Amino acid sequence: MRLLLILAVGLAVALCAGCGQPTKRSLWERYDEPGGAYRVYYLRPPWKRIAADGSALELRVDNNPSAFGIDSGLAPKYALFVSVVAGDPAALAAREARRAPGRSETVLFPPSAVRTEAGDSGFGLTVRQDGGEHLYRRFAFLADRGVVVQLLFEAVPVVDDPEIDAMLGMVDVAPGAP
Amino acid sequence: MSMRRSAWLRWIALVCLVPGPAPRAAAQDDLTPPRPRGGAALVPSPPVVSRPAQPLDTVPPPAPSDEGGPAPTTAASAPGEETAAGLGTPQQGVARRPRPEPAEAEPWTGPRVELVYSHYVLVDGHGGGQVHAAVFGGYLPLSPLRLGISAEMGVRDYALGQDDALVRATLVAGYQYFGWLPVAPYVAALGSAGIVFGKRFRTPVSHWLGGGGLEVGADVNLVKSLFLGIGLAYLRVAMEGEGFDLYVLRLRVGL
Repeated sequence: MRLLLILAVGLAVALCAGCGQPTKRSLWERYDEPGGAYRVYYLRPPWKRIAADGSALELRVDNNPSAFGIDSGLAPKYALFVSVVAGDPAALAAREARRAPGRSETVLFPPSAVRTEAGDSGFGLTVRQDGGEHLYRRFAFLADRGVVVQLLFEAVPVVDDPEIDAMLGMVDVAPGAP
Repeated sequence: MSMRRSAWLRWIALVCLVPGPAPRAAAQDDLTPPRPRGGAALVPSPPVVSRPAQPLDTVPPPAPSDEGGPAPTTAASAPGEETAAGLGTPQQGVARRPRPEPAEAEPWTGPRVELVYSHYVLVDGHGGGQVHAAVFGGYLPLSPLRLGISAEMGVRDYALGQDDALVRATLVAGYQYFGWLPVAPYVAALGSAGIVFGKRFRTPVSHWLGGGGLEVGADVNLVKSLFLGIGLAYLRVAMEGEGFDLYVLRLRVGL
């Protein structure tokens, strides 16, 4: 009887073993643009969706006081604005680099090529506000099959971060297109 | 009444017969006996001559006793006749007190405690998730039943940022076999629950985890109740709505 019990438990465990490990995509929340223009993954918590209007999406990580329900007036720790734009990714990135000085921003990383895990390519740059809270802004323009998507990360901490890189790398432009 | 008087007389006689202290001058100056009481004539006596000193190595053996054997001597009775070389040897007539034989220790059958190093992978999805943990626990070896509990604190590697902290408690219930002592193999079911603390996007987050599984292993009893053990466990745990496979290596030392 005892041996049968051990065998039964062992069999159950053996059947369950290797049921599957989660992947980074299964651990993160997914948002699909209704028109199929893009797919974005974000980790919730701490990210939360603020608005999804048409092809635009806004995500945010609250600052610490706001996380406890205190309105401190501080900027959110991270924010992501996603939208569908028209144009060439390289030209769009160059335009943002030119506009930066007029917005009292310094270009920290000039436009350079980026590529996502899904194979979408584009250009990105990082700027920093000169005054105030030293807000960092990181642009990425990705294109696939004629669809161009702009992603703008705004952050009080340094935005060139491995977690932001991972989030950007999981973006998929026109995921449903053949 | 006569008894009380006789007691008084006996006490007075005892007080009178006890000699008083010797005069100080006589004791220090000429070493002559004190003058007896009652005015008796002074009787000349030979001067007191101290015994010449002898080297330690030439000290004669103690005089034999009346029974023919050597006279019993101890360090307290004749300290001057002890030779330096003989200090480490047992003296004649002095028997070493036998030490009590230690009682035969019975094997400890009560609760056993253990310290464990535990290693497994709780994947983070980005190539990290290695957990190194220290565990303190114990179990009741209720032959053949094995019931235990343990608490674990560890560090989980996070590939994209600071490492996480992990706290977990585990309950153990299983079967162990004592027929191969000092090796005691066992198989046990596990139930575990814990919490992972970490930072994501520079924000503190925490996640509960819980699940169960099976562990096989063996303990090796070394001396008395000291034992070493190794265990391999598989657990299926849930965290944030996802299932994780944990293959746990446990290295144990305990009492």
